[in-house]
Amino acid sequence: MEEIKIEATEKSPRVYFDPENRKFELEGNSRPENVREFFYPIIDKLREYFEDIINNGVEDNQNNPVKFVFQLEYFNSSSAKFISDILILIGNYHKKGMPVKIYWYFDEGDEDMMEVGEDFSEMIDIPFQMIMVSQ
Amino acid sequence: MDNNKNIISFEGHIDKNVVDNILHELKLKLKILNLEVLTRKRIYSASVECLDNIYRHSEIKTNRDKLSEDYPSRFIVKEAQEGYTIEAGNIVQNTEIKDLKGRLEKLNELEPVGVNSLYKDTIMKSAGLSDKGGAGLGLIVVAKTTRKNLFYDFQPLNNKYSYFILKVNIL
Repeated sequence: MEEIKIEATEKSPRVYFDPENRKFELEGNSRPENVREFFYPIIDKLREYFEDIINNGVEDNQNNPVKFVFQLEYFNSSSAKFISDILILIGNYHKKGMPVKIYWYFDEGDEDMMEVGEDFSEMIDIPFQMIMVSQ
Repeated sequence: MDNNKNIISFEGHIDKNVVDNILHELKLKLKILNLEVLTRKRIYSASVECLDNIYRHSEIKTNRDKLSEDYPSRFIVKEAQEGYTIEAGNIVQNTEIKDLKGRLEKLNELEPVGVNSLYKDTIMKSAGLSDKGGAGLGLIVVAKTTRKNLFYDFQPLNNKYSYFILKVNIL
């Protein structure tokens, strides 16, 4: 499977997905012009990949979780829905046996971003590794 | 009102480019003010949702050009006695008022914890359904940024349109 590499802009986040190394990263600001066009292909690709993992990767899976890094500075309400879609998808495949590790970054003092991470974690019932970035 | 305390003050037609320009300028100005991270992010976050809301309304094509000239959209961020005030104003259709008022009243009745659970519920229910923030998530986000009530007013312009003003205070 091909990787995804989307550079960050002032309005849209950096997206990096490396299937071979089982790593997905979403970083920066998110209020893309057309939020659906931005997130749908990413969500489709992840779904396809998770399906492969479940079907083919059982032996590799035990000690090799898929890593997700969310290091968002800011996201708007429309993006929130799609970020939540990604997390729900991760949650669903985790239930089917896909091992995952989710890292949620927030700036020191940004209680809101920390809380959103905690809420998302609760929502999909997977503990997040919460990482505070000092200013 | 003391204009020197304005951080951003815009009046006129608000399209996509104007939204981008205002937010770019706001970001720079908030950096210079050297605010607490949370205050800075809350002002920015509420501003994005207010501006998106104005922009969405400006997309509605109606025969009201003269009205828009007389009552242009406006967006102001200024220092308040306590914290900062964001004020957004735009024309809305009278038919929208009932629903909008209902949502604003509901948000004002909730404690911060309640606003937060409404935010979570709304995200979960509407995940992926809409890219327009249609379920009112934008207003909920604005309510999340303030510990005070959302102040709002609808000033009737004619039998079809009113001018909607939304004010929030961020500490």
